[in-house]
Order: sequence, then structure tokens, then C-alpha cells
Amino acid sequence: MKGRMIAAATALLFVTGLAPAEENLRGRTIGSACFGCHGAGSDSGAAIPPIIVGAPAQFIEDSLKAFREDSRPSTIMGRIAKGYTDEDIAAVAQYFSTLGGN
Amino acid sequence: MTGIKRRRFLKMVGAAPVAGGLLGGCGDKSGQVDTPDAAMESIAPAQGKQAKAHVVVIGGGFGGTTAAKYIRKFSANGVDVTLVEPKQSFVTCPGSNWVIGGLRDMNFITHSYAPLQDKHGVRVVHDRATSIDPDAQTVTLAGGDTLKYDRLVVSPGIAFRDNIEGYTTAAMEKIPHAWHGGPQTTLLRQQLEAMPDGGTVIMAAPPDPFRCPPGPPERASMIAGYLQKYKPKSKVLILDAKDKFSKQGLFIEGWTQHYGYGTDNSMIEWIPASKDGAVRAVDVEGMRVMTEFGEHTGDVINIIPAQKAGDIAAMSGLTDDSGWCPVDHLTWESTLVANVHVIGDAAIQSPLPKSGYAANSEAKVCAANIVRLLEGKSLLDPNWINTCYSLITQQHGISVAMVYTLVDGKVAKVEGAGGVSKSNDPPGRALEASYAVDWYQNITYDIFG
Repeated sequence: MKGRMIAAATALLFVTGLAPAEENLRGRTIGSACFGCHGAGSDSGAAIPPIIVGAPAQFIEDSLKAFREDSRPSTIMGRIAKGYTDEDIAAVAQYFSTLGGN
Repeated sequence: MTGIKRRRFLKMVGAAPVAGGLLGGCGDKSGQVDTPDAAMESIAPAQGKQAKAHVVVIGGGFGGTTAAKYIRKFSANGVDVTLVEPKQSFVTCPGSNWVIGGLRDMNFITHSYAPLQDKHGVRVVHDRATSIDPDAQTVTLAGGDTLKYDRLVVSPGIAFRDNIEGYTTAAMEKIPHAWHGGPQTTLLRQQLEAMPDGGTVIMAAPPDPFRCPPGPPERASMIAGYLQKYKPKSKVLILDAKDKFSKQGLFIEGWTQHYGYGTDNSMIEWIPASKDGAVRAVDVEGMRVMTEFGEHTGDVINIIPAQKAGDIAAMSGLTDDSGWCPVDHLTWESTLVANVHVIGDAAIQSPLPKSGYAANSEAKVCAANIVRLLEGKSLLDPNWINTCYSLITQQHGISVAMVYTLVDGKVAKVEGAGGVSKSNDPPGRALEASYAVDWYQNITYDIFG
């Protein structure tokens, strides 16, 4: 199922020339659920939690893994990060890094 | 045609790639029923004039507005979306307890649909949907217009059941429920302001399942906070139709710390169902509520009735015997009516809660897979998050969170994830109090911005 989806996404990219952010559908699925707290853009008016749109992928990936392992203290991110595999985290990190806000 | 055959036929038609304006045909078709030629022929004339697929969304709350916006985003504006919502602006239920407690004003929880229209190209129709014709795939509006849809999203929120004798529509003007944001929120706030010191505020909390499980104890906290400051001889009495409630340990920890809970001078008293807490009837003139064996008199009374899916859902055959709407959680399509998707509080979504965050998360999964269906592509594996913050005081916040995935076609909690805030963690409570407000600003921006 996953293989077919990647193949479909690659074919789509090839045919239509869509941006890489559109291709990473797993990252988009997970990332969309994060917008509820983290903000899909920079002008929501909220100070924290940080707007992670456009942050470097490696930074997001490292942060999420540290939250998941409780090596970085948090109120809530540790509880949420425990819901994701390494692959999920890599996908969502890549997704956020390619967004420029809306 | 039998019901089942008819339904399968409609499903197949719905799954067919829509001609023109979309990227249909590029992806594979795994997970879809092959479309027989007969079905293709039968829909060809209907689609002849349509350049783009059209999705109609009924209900402009957390679920419906999110779905409308994200169908536009996920289709790169390739799908036309019409949102049907009677109100000119939306007052959120989340945050309304903060208004009742005096921490925020109504303006803070009121949102315009203008960005949805101007930034995202959603057509917003301020009218009320009165009926759905699933065979013709049309929605009829109170104003007389009829909208044709390829896919329909129904996000009507909740309606009240008649579980409390005497609690009529007229009674709500004197004894507010305040479980829809808006004039009812203002009314309850005004009654608290007008109440003399030494008064009792009665809250009747509903049986499960209901919108916003931590809402009643958060409301009690906010009212107690207001009373403590301005009317310290007063108290809140919660009469509950349940024996436990959401984030109970954390609420009681906070109530003990701030409101003397458990002492003779507690500003909050909670009576569970097992101690005769369930309210059965209300006497509006006498400002009394009756339980099975007793009665209580209040200076302000807030009744939160038992709930069911919003009226349009029941009128359209979308509800089952439970009063809520069964759906396929991969697409949120109704299991009773083809091409109609139900999201938010009205849907049967357990273990996802009936919360604004869950509705927002469900809407995105629904939007993504509606676009995939319209484009004739394979469906995406879903993922959901729920995060609910509650305030006990302005500086004391608590949360519950969970990550959900689909297991054997059903929503399931991801093992090891989620849970409630750590107890006995004052710095965490202060941080989460500020996160609660930021949560509100970010999620409403995600929906209405």
C-alpha cells in the first residue's frame, strides 16, 4: 500500500511538476493535525508554541525524537511525539521544512 | 434497485474521476471499486457542463469550516466549495467559559468568514440547509435555493435531547445552556454579574457522550474564579448525570488548591449521579431543579442537556438509533447515505472525543480523502490528534492529548502516546495556562484565518 502510494506520488510529481511539499502526503497528513496548536501561518497572534512552518527538517526531527524519548522536557510534546514512528517523524519534519506559511 | 445495490451504485459513481479541472487519472486506483461503463455513461450527461467538482459543506463550525478550507488547499483550488451557514459570524464554544468567567470578551471568541471567502475561495452562503436529497445529490436551503453536490460534508454539531422535564426553548431564555457560543454565553455571564453575593450557581452536567467533555468542570472553575474575586460568599453546585468526568484528577487537584474543594468552605461542590446528582426536571419560575430524590434552588442555573447529532443529520437519515451518525473513518463518509460525509460532534468518532480539536483533525482527513476520491486516486492513511486545554484559573492550565490512527478500519489510540498533564507540577500548570490561550488563537487561525 505504502509502496504504491509512493509510486503514485512520484508519478504525479513527474507528470505535473508539483512542489516536493505536495508529494510528501504522509508528512502532510501528520503535519495537518499539528496546525491546530502550532499555527499554519505566522499571523495567528499566538506567541507560543512556536510556529514550526519553514523550520529546518533536521531540527524538527531531532526535537520530536528528543521529546519522544523525554530527553527534552515538555508539558505536552512528549505525550504527542510518542504517537509517531521514526518514519512518521522524518516525513512530518520534511513536510514542515518545505512550507512557507500561508 | 435495493437499498444496498443503490448505495453501491452511488458509491461507484462518486468514486469516478470527475472530468476537467482536476488531475484525475494520474494516480493509481488501489482501494477503489472499478467503475463499470454503465455507471460512467449514466453520469456523463450530468457532468457535461461542470468544469470542476463541487463540494457543499453544511455547518460553519470547527469541522465544517476546516473541511471547506482544506478541500480548497488539498485540491490546489481545483474543487469548488460552498459553505452553508446561517450565522454571519461564528462564536466558538471553546473559549466561551473564559468569557463566562470574565477573562475574555465576546469579541475574542467571534470569528468572521471573510478570509474563508477572500483568501481561500470558498463560497459562503448564509442560509440554513433544510433538506438533503441523496439521490439527486442536492441540498435545499430555507431561502429556496438548491445546491447540487458531488460530495456533501455535514458538520451540524449538536442538538439537545428532551431529558430534563420543563427545559423548553422558552426556558432557555431564563436558564441558559450556554452550550452553543453566542447570546447564551452572554446571558449566563450577565446573570452571574447580576447575582447577589452569597448566591448559589447550579450547573447541571450532561450524560455521555456530549460536546466538550472537560467543558463542564472548566466552566465550574471559571465561575468559581469569578465568584472568589467578586462574590466570595457564593458557590457553584455541579449536579452531574455521570459518576466521573474528564481530567477529573487534575481538576480536583486544582479545585483543592484554589477553591477549597473538599472543605466546608469549598466554592465548588460536585454531586455525581450515584449521589442523586442527575437533574430530572426544572421549575423555571421557582428557579429549582429536581433530581430523583431531591431538589435544589439556585440564584443562577445553567442546564447542559443530554445531546444528539444536529437536526439536519436526523432529518436526512444520517443518524442511527444512538442519535449520532455512523461513518467510515477512512473518509468520514456516512455508512447510511452515500456521498455524504459527517464530521465533528455529530459523528460517531469514539475513541476520538467530541471536541473542537478532534473536529478540526477529522475535517482534514475527510478533506484529503474527498479530494482523492474526486481525483480518482488511492485513499491516504489517516492520522488524528486531539489536544484539549482547560483553565482552572487564569494561571492554572491543564491538558489532555492523544494521537489516533486507523486499525482494522476503526479509529484507535496509538499505544503509549497521549494522556493528561503531570500532577503536582506548578511550573507546568503556569505554562499550560498560557499555552491554552495560544492553542485557541492558533486553532481558530487554522480554521477561520
